[in-house]
Amino acid sequence: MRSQPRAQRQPSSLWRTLRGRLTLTLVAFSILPAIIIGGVALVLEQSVTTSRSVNQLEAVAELKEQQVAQWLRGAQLVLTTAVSGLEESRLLAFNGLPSSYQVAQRGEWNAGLAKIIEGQSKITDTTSGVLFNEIFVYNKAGVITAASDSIQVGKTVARQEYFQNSVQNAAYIQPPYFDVQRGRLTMFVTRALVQDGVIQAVIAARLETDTLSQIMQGRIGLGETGETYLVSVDSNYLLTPSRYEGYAVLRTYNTEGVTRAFARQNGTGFYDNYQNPPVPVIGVYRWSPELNAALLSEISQAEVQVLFRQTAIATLGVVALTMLIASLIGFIVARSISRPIAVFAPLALQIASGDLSRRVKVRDFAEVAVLSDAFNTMTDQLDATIKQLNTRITEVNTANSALEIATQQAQEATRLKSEFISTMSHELRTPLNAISGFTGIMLQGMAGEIDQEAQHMLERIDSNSVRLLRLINNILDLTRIEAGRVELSSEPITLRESASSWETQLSNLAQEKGLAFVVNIDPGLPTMVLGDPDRIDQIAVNLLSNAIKFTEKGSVTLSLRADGGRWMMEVADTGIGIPPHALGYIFDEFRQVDGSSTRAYGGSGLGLAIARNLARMMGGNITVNSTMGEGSVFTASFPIAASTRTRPLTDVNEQVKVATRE
Amino acid sequence: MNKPPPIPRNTLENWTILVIDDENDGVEVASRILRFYGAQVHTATNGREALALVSTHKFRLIISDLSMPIMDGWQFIEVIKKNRATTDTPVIALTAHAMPGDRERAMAAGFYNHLTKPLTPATFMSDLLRLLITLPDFEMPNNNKSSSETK
Repeated sequence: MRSQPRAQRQPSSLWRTLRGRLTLTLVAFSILPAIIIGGVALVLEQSVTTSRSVNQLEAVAELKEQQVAQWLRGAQLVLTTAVSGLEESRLLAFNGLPSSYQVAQRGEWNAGLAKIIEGQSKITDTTSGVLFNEIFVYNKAGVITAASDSIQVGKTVARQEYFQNSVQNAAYIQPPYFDVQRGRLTMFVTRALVQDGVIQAVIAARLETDTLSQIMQGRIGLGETGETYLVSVDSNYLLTPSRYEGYAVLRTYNTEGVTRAFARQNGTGFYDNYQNPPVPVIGVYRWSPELNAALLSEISQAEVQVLFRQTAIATLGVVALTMLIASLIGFIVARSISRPIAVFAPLALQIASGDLSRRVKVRDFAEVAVLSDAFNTMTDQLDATIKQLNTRITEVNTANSALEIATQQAQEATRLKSEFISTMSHELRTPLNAISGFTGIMLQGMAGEIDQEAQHMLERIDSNSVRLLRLINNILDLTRIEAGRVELSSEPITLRESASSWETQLSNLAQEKGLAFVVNIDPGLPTMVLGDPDRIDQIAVNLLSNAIKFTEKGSVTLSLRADGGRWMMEVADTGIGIPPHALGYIFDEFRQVDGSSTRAYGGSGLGLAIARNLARMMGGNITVNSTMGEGSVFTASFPIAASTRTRPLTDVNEQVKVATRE
Repeated sequence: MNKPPPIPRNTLENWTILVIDDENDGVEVASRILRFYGAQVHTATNGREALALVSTHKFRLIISDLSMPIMDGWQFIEVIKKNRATTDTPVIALTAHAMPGDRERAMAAGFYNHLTKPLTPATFMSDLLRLLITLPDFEMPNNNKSSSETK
């Protein structure tokens, strides 16, 4: 499997694989709600747990309040019941006694009262938990007129806490207070004895507070650390015992809950309780006017937290389980989606490596089936295209090699042609050397005196060998031009000097035929032009000698002029002229006007072809105008600046290479 | 052309010249012209023969063809240039090869210069003289007309 190493080489990011991304996405989308729901649940649970605790505390406080109220009502009821048997008038009769009372009278009242409360120094009612352990009657001045404990008679209660309220209200409960004389917590329940709408006396009973403690110490609904207790507004005394040891009743305590309750507020709070060190609690505090005390119902925050923690752990467990299951499902789904697609990668690699026979067979999903069909179609087409291409390449290769062979053959033919011309030139020159050499030696008289006739014939041999040599040179020239082996130099040429040299060279020839040789130089002709002086000489000599050759009488005129970046060499004659039909081919190789004129005037017919080829290579041209019987005008034009095709002749190495090839 | 060249007959009087050419006609044309102007001419038909002569004679000038059997002009000039005794002897190539670059190739190989066949007495001597006057030991003889006329 070629895909294996590749897959191992790029494990860089799970996110970059289809399967990895699908898995991550699905898992993320399944975990996210679980986390959110879990988080919300936790927050809700926290507040629910708290509010449940608060509700519970409030319920407990409410219950305690009701129990206290019931207890107090019970106390009043018991007292009322206890005194209901008394004839109020009789009681009042005693009541009206002056401070100096009579024993007899006193004894009578006592007997009467005793009858009521005889053997009942403690009046109890177990149902309501009321216990009176002392009962007495006092008049408006506070003097006790009758008592369950007869010793008390004659004593005054005017200074007691409850006295003022008891003589002003029909019924009164004195909230718990610390009786310094008795050294304990004390409560009194009083009832006024009214005659004619006026309070005449008060009957009072000392209420035992044990029941109050019992009520407060009831632990129903308070859990492990919950408690209810009363704190008196009187010196912040703890009225009912703490559930913890070491916190005595009647000692001063102060907490936030106590302060708030003393400010007549009912409510809930999170604060530190009275313990040392303080324990943070959730507290419900209430003001109890009957008891003149704060009622507190508290539970430690730690306990609530423990409750919350338990539910939280349960919630988190459920969330974690959900996440696990969701991730598992996400993983499986991602795998099942990515697997059919993942099949393509190794197949594509195999196809890329040239195994075009592979096809995909995955049909797990409709979309993947379409993709797989498309993939297979693509592979089919690729296969077909590659086969076509291979065929084409073979064809092209065949064509190319044919072309290459043809090119090689053409190059070989050119080479052979050059070689042939070169060899021919060499082979023609060798005998020509002997002919012209010996002819020259004889003509010079180097081999002794010769007679007139022999001299004449030797001159004919000599001129013919010169002609033959010129022909060979022309053929060589033309071959070089065709092979592109002509090197043109670019040098400054003084045209006026060139013109006079041409005149010197050719005016003799013209004079021999009785022709006038005229040179016209335009004043506008530049002093210097750039070009190859040898080649320009060659062209000029060719045109001038042609003009002389084809003119029997009249003149040959050479004109030099310049026009628009070019300079012109014009050779006009008064010769036989050229027929119009011949103007088209006069510059072709081996063509003079006709075969007869070739024979009549001599020359190979190569000169003009060479001259025009050279002129064109220099960026110029040669044109001709002619009128039969009047003469011809040949005009050669050249750029004043050097031809761009020139190469310096001084490149000896290049020359050597060229020569080596020949 | 039919006028005799104005070159004195004694131009090459003190010259010992070696002419090398595998063509007898070529050798004869060249040596006849050179002798006409007073030179001592030795001939050889290839480079090896020429080397044998060079080892026994002192030549002031050698004129050599290029294409020859046994040892051609290129091999010959190589030996001449390597040999300290002959390296200063001017060797002129005389060849029927007239293709472009032939002159440069010859001069690069060590030839003093290059002349093209065919040769005629007029052109050969004037061309040769143009080359010879550039040699340091060449002295133009007095234009002693009498010597040429008397013969």
